[in-house]
Amino acid sequence: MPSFFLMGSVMVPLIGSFFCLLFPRKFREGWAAGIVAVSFVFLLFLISPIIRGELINIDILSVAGSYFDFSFFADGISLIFALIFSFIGLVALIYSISYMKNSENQREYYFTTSLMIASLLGVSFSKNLILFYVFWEIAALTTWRLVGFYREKKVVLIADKTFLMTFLGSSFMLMGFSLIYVQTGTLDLFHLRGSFIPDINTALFLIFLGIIAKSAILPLHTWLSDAHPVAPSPMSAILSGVEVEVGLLAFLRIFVWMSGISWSWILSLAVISSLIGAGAALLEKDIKRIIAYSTVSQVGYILLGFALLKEMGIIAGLLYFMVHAIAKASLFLGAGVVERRYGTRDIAKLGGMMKTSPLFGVGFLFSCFSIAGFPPFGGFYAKLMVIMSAVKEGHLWIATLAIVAAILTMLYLLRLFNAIFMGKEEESGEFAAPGKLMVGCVVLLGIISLAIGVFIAQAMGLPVAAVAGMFK
Amino acid sequence: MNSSILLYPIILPIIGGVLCFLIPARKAKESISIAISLIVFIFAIFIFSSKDIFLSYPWLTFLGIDFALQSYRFSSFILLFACLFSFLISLYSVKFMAENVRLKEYYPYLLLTTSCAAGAALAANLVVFLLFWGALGILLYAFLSLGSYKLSTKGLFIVGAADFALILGVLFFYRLSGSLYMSQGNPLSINSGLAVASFVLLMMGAIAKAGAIPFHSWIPDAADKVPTPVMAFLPASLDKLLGIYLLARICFDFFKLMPNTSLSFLLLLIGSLTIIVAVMMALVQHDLKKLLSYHAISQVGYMVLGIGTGIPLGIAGGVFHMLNNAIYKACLFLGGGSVEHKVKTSDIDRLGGLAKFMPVTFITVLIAAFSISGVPPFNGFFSKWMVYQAVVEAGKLEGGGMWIIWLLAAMFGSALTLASFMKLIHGTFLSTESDEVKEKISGKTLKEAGAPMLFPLIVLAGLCVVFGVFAYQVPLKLFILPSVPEIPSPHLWLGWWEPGLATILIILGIIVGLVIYSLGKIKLGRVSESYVGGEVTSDEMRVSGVDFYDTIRDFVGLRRLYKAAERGALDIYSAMLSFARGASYFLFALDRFVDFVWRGLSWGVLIVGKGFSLAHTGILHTYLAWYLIGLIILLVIFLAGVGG
Repeated sequence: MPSFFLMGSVMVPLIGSFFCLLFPRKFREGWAAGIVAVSFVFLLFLISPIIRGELINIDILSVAGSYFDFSFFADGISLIFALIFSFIGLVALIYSISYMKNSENQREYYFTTSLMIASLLGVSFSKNLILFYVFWEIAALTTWRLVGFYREKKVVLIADKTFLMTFLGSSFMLMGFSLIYVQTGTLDLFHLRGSFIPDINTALFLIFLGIIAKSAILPLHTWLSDAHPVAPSPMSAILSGVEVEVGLLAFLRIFVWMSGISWSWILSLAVISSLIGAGAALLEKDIKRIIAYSTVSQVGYILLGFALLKEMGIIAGLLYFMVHAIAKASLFLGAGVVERRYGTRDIAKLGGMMKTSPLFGVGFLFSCFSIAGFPPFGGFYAKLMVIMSAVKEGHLWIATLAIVAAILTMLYLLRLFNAIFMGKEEESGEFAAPGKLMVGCVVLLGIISLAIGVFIAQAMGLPVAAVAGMFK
Repeated sequence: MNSSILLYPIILPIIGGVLCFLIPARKAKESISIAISLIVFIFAIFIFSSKDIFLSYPWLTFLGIDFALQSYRFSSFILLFACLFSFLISLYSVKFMAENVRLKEYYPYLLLTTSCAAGAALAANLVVFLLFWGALGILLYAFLSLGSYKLSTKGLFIVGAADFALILGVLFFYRLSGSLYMSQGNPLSINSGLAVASFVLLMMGAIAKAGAIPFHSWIPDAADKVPTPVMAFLPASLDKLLGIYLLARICFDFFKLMPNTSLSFLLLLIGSLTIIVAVMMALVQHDLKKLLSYHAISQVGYMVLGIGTGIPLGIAGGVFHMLNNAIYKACLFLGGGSVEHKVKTSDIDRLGGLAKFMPVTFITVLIAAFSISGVPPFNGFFSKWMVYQAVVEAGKLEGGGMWIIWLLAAMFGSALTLASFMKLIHGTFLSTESDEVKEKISGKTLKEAGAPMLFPLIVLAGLCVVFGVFAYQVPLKLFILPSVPEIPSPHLWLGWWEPGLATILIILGIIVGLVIYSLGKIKLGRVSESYVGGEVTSDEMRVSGVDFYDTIRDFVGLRRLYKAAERGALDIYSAMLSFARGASYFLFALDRFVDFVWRGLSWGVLIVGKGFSLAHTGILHTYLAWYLIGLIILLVIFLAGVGG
């Protein structure tokens, strides 16, 4: 039965997304949200077997000795990632119903968005590295389409930049996979795990290039802050909230889980990336660019947690991923609300929104606090544990720099919040008040951020089980 | 007793806070707040009067971290007073906050702050401690937002940055000790660079909460913007209780701070600077609440000074001063608040002559003012005395040659405190009435504040007297001495100051004086007009005394400092912001450079592509020429290969 749910959770959105092209408009929105919701519910059924320590494994098309298998497996790590992918995707799709109401090309929008979520789920469950790569590139292609969704010349150029930079990385990654195949004759993750690969370091380095390009880590991060301002807001929420983190999933799967290798310079890279993101976010003036740089900064923490290769760091990184995805999605969806209300993203031209929509303000503030790492929000525990594990392993300077980045994070988020919500109220002009549905999504995610912090012991259950399964 | 009693002071206020937020009626909010804080206070008394209680739930088990709470003498005494202040402030707020537009948020914040303060005081585990401590930062933001958003941002940034420093300090401490449990009685010695770093970082968190220089600058800004009960609650009492609690624990439970080491000097320096700088600023203030807020900073200096000596007597003195300060400073703020509530201004220039109309407020504020100025027999004197003693004692130890500087700073600060309070008392209560006050008198609206506002004042002023006169019998015995380890027997240092005896002597002296006065002079007493150089003053002219000390501003050297301080140049917030901005420019430049490199790469590809496309002219002869050239090159290469 679990294997049915696993299969369904990938296949329902993967196949279902194509029907978005066929259905009429009324039905399409509900369909897109529906297939992702079904997938999310299927994943919920997987939680209890995974916590019990089961490993769910399906081989559909598997030929001995071939480099390609159409096969999936689920363990704790992939389940955590998949749950968050589908959940954020679901919220973003529900938000889209209101946000995308008046835009053109909706057929394309719902098709690519649900296909993208399906491909993210595919990446998390793939057992074969080629399958993994295929889903990875489907995600990249759909990102390319969605970033360039508004089709202006400038927008399309930015979409090309997005695609080319991630593709530059992923082509190196494919070389890495080939190198592994040449040496071992298999690309099955189960077979590769723990097996001896003579030239693993070169292969891993090539794969790492793909990872940093996807995850927007220094020095391949510059596409992210360009892509966000032009993308539709729900797409931004998916892109920064979860899609970028696919790279971290790859890091966790291939570096930590498969080969147990990490290099100490990755820690420095992660923390410097974190600092650069925070510094840039403090100076930017566009809401979405600020939040995009914030992603660069926060992803550094997650990578830091994973790259320590220790149980505690990985748990912390997984928790950080969950918390960050939820809060970051909330911020981007919130940015969409603000943009719809005032018709601008320039923080100098905004202000005083707390007076007109206090509930929205509180939801947005909760997400800011969560990312800044204040207790009792979820981000506090995540940040604390990442830095704690860095200190525990003796990387004191890394921990100090991480704290500096945290202080900068607090500062730019306060700046962002003040600029939007505080101060003198701006005229909203001809724009209508944001829809309840959109505000509701932001507030819901903000409350979840708080709930994770309050029920932290329960929220830790899955990451702890996942990592326990990994080190078994 | 059931150990789950420790949970009530944390959970009850949260429930109360949520209820307060949900129920719209004002009366309901007020009653819930008063009832909950009273119940919690009673629980705190129970906790204090019972033996040590330890409570632990499995929490983050994979980290080996339990949700552990612990009450022992020190923590339960902090809890007791935090709850007492919460109750008094709730009571006071009923009248004071009644017309505030953001009443909806005020009581929930108050109760949640109580909960977090209780949690921070009772935490037995550093992660639990950080949880509640950090949440207090958020609540500070919430409270300050009642004033303005710029203020709340400033407050949260200063406190939040210090909290992050504290987190790092805690983690370094964890690396050193291998445990996150906040144990008592086995401190680490400070013998490595990591230990020093950990100590300094922890200390930053603690003194930033307490509001010592240089982390003080949000307090004066807040003074005239947020409602007075907030000032009385947070910077005046609760922040001191918690900040100094942490500082004391750092100095004798986490680490063993040795006297006359460089870290001890650091603390003594911070303490002395805090006393002097803040009191100098207080001298020239015109606003009642701003003046008080600078004293709220200045007094932290004594606590830091006492603890910084590193000897048990000094730590006890510092902790005792913390307690006394919380009491009299809350009393002063609340007294100032009732003046403001009645006259609708807190500018000393526009007050005056209120003693007749608000006698209870006057007397309670006077007692608190004596107390803060260190006039015997009130409580402030006693704790300052202990601090002085400790500074001298530490000076006797090896390497303590600097003691005279610290002692002078402390005593000088005390004198200036008295001076500035003379100004406050005179300007507010004694001088001739200002126009505002006269207007209120003629409208018959000037009378004593209501009972809910007077009750806290009387309780606090009463505590000032009791804790001074019966210093040894009540506060030292109950609260201070059990909290501080290794304190020598009081006879060794208390011997020749008998507060009880001294009080009797002072009272006797006053009675004798009164008798002599009434026998001899009372009939000769006269009331005369203000006298200025032989001319009778006009009605418009009144001396409020506010500018008594303005000459200090014009002293050579000080003038510039005052100017700078008024510009905000000494404000760490602006310094931190500039630093963050500078660092950000650097980081952003790096980011743009990386982007430039990638753009350059794409241009490079384009240019190379363009170059090749130029070659594709479509003319057959050109292609043939290229073909021949290529053939020749290949030939040369192969022939060279054969030849070699």
